[in-house]
Amino acid sequence: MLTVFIKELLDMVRDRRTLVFAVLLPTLIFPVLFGIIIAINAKSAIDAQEATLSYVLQGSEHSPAISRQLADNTKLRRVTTYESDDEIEDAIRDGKLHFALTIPAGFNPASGEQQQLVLRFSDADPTNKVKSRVRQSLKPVIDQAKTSLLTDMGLTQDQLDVLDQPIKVQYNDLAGERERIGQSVGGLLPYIIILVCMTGAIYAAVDMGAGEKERGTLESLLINPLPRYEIVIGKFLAITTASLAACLMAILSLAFWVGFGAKLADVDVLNRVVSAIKLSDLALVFLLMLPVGGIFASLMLLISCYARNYKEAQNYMSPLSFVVIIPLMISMMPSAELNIGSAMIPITNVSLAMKELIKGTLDNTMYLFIFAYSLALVAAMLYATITLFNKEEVLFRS
Amino acid sequence: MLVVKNLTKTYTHTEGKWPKKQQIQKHALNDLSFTANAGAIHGILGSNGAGKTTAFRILSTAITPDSGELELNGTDILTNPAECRAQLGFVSNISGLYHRLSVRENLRYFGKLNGIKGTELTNRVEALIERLAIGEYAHQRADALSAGQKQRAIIARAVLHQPTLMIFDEPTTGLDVVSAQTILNFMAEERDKGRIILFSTHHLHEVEALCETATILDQGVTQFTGTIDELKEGHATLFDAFLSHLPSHHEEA
Repeated sequence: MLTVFIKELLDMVRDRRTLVFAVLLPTLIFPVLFGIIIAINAKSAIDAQEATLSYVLQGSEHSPAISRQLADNTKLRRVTTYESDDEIEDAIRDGKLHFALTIPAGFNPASGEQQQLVLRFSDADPTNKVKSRVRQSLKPVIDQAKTSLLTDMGLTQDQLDVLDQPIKVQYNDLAGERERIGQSVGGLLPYIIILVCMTGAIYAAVDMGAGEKERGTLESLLINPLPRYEIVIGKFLAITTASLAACLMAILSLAFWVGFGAKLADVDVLNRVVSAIKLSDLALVFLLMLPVGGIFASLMLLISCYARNYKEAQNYMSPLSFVVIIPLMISMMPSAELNIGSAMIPITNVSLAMKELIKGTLDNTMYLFIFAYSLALVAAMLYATITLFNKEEVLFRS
Repeated sequence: MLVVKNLTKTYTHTEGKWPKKQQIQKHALNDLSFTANAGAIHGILGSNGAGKTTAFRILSTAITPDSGELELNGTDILTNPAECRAQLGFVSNISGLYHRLSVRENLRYFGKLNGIKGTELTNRVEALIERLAIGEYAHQRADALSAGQKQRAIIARAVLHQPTLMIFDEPTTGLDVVSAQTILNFMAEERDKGRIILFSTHHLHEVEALCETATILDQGVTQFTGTIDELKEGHATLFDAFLSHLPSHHEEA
């Protein structure tokens, strides 16, 4: 068994595809992912901040003060190209115009009655700054109106606050930073790590089952004195190693790049993640992945041994991704929670447990149950693979 | 001595598409019987699809027959497959090597699988590398070798554990003259060492040059088994003798 395991490891190390999926991809996935997220966020924020918004002001003669405030804002540019309401609304929908503000006739903030302005804009792009820019420009006018009204009505600022909010609730969030971070990133982390773990195993498994058939080495292997179950276990251990190597690289890469991003780039969200997730949590995450690597290894070896050739094995592996993604998606749903029912669903259970681990809310008994349950699954699937490997109608399918 | 008695093997395969799928049975071996002696080369002859590959797979313990008896030097192969595997070497034209391993690594791997270790393994590997003249490329990855070089390495792998029974299934197919002759000379040398050798080929001159005895298979049924002289009796050439034992050929004609 050890001979088969060592040979398969050597063979794998020399296989460029396995190396790409077991080492390169998991090493690069997090820096690339973080880089893309940070770059996109930063670009959107800068674009939105720097952008000059074009606007149409209807009824400017009813409020010279508002007209002046808008004109004084250097990030706003008044246009007069559009006159009718239809033209204005089409321009906003087409993105040629950012907003239109309408001041009705008789507009008088000092009248003692509530006044209304109409702002037409498109909120399709959530990063747009229309509302904040308009609010910013209108603030001096609104403040001025408030002060004038308070004076007229003989009220103080405190009395106005009471009128504005008669009952105030004080919110004390006991979840803590770690739980909040865990809730937001804890769903994504298992998704990436489990998929990386799966892709790390694919090429190794295809090569060790269907690859043996295609190369013509399978018969030579079968007629050796080594019992067939030892051949299967040797191969299973090698594929599990590839799968876990990919997983470990992903976790180390995550730890490195989050730490790097937090210390050197001083990215706020990464700083909060570093303060929330400890290295011991990542170690527990990796430990939980041991049986997952075993599940993937035994399942893929089974499929690969069944396939007639390399191509057929690869065809079978593609739908397997869906079989893995579906339980992962279930675990990412906001309502998904870890209980005895979900702990029985393979992959979903590990994914939910990882999320709870990151949040710091995982119960030790549940952790041990999921670990033992996943190991039992590995044993069952390995037994199925060994049984299949003893069937000549499977090994010599034509 | 290898004794094969009344071997039969039927394959079941599916034909047609759902819902008209049908299970079809094909008799790959109907009744194969022959005896092969130590220190002799026994030819297994037949057209494509005659059942030679199935017979060799059964003899090498890769698959099991539906019925029949198999005995290697008094040991029942069917009830003691693991014991017999240690006495078995198999070379075929579709055998392969691990292409990312060097020739030497391939040999050492299969040696270890057969329980050979340490200095003994090194000595045997190096002796075979020298004997089969593959030293020049023993360090190269198998995927860099020519067909002839690869076949020599496969033969080295098959004899590394010094088996009692060696099966050569069309070992010279697709090889150049020099490589083919090297392999035939190697087989003769192994025969002279007292091994039982089964040899399948479509080149009848190779049979005439090497084999003492032969069995002719046609559609899984033994049509002839005996010495080459007995086979040739009453025929001008070995080819004529071979054809006369192929009922399916006469039916087609």
